Amino acid sequence: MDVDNHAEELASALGVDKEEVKEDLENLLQYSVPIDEAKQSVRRKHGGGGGGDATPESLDLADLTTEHDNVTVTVRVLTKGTRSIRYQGEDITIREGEFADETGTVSYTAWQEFGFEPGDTVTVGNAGVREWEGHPELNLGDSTSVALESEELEVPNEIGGERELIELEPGDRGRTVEVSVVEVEERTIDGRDGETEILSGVIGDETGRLPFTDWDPHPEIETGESVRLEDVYVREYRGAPSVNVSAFSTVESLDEPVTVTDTAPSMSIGEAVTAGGLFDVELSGNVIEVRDGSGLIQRCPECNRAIQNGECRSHGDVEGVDDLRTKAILDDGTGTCTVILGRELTEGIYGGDLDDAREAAREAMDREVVAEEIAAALVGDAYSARGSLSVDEYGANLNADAFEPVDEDPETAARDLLAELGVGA
Amino acid sequence: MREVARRVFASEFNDASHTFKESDDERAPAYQLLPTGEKANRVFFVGTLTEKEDIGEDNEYWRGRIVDPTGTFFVYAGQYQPEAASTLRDLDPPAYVAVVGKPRTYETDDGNVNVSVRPESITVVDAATRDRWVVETAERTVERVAAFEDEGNEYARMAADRYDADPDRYREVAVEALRGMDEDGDADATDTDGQAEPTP
Repeated sequence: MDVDNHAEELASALGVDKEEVKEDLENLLQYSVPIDEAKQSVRRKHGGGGGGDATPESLDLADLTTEHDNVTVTVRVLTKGTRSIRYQGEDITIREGEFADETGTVSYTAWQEFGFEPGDTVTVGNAGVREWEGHPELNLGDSTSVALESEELEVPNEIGGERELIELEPGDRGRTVEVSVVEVEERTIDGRDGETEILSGVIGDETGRLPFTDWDPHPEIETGESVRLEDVYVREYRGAPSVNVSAFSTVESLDEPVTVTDTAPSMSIGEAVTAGGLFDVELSGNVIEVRDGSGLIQRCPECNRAIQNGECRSHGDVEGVDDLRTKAILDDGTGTCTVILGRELTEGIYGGDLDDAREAAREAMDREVVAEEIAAALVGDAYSARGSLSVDEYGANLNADAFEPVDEDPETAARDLLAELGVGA
Repeated sequence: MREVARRVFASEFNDASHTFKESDDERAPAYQLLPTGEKANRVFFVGTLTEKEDIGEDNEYWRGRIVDPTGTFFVYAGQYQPEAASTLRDLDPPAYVAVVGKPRTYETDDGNVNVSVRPESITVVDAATRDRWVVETAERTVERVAAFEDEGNEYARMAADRYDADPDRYREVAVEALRGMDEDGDADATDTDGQAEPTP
């Protein structure tokens, strides 16, 4: 690229006369200033953003990669959420959300208030690019300039943060939901500023239920009340999304009550595992194995974790407390997960209580007989389980609240499937 | 992560003679390549145990024939599959059984590849469980066939290279299995349906 081209590019980026820019550039180059530095200097002179190492590049979001350092983009603001974080010992209020253009979307973090709102079309000059889980994200800081555009950019995405609970995913910012408070309790936690009062519980709408935490208790949040929660963010809690209400959220009572679904969304195990965890879901499949650690087990009296051979991983040798539990592998051919059934559900399958199980183990002189009995009852058969699904690198676990044999009539299902395939019976 | 147990009919399973590994590690899992374009490290099926035979010489080694609407699965269980072997020993055919197991292939002297199952478990189930498996397996099979031409479906590409059979054939087999289930159910069902049709 010769000086002419550099001048052309700079002039159009800065909206000033090319000859003037060229003159400035040539002047600097004469004094052995490297071209990149010269351009930055000219840019500063004409009031453009700058200060970075490289010239910000104007591009479409689809072309944005983690290889870029600084960029300039013209985008529509989709969402904006406010959050307080502690950074190097200091509380900072940041704004986060998504931008979109015709080619794609990108998440952003703004370290100061630039004043843009969802729906605005803006040109963001000299935004930093950083990597988050392999994807580029924009960082809007001191050296970033934001200019409101008068011409609205048409984007295919939904503008604003209004969502239904089923749509929420960990990492979402600036969301607005209308929900009914299913349950709520006040708790005292040992937070970053010592003891803090918070609210925690469960909210629901027509699409599902999710756990929530209110870090700045709002009086409108009471069991049975319907509320609109504006500017909440979503974090992952035990592998499932959890809604966070903060001091920046607006909580408003609703006159129209929000109906909460009493069924959990039902989906294939493959879909549920891919979703990465769900607070309340119904999964069906065949039990194909009952895992070790099922049946008559022992728990640590200190931490309640299951122990083996009287030894707890945290508390060493302990006097174990008997309990009943089942870890069943549920598989529907699309995915697989471990369903964990507590004492009550396990008793139902075993057909006896803890005393019966102890008696059977004594008689056989083997605790394993209880697990064998449970496996004989479950393996091969089809069940549907409802509860909270969490997913980690070792697999998926469903903590079940309900566990029942599938009672769907297979002939009806066969006819339905034939009809769906358009081939009739 | 635990491998999913694939749902596959006997006719497709027995055609799936190609196996492969995805890494050079000796302990890497072995996969069977299904002709509809999926890898299987474990299968789950439900069918009717029609015959069993102890074909072992010194130790017991059970062979069971388990029939579904499309063909026969062969399962072999010996001393290393004690639970499955003892189930086969105790069972009186015919009986509905659910099987979880690993696909195994064996090349015969004449160069054919026989496909069989090494069971992890065999359990007795009822007729409804068997019927539900047929519906579920038909659905999974149809889904695999539908995804066969998808861009980036590497196992479908591999299957197209390895096998001659047209994947649509397995869709037809699945549809036939569903139709058959409708027929061998309640004999009155067809009549009732007929009456429900409005007549001019």
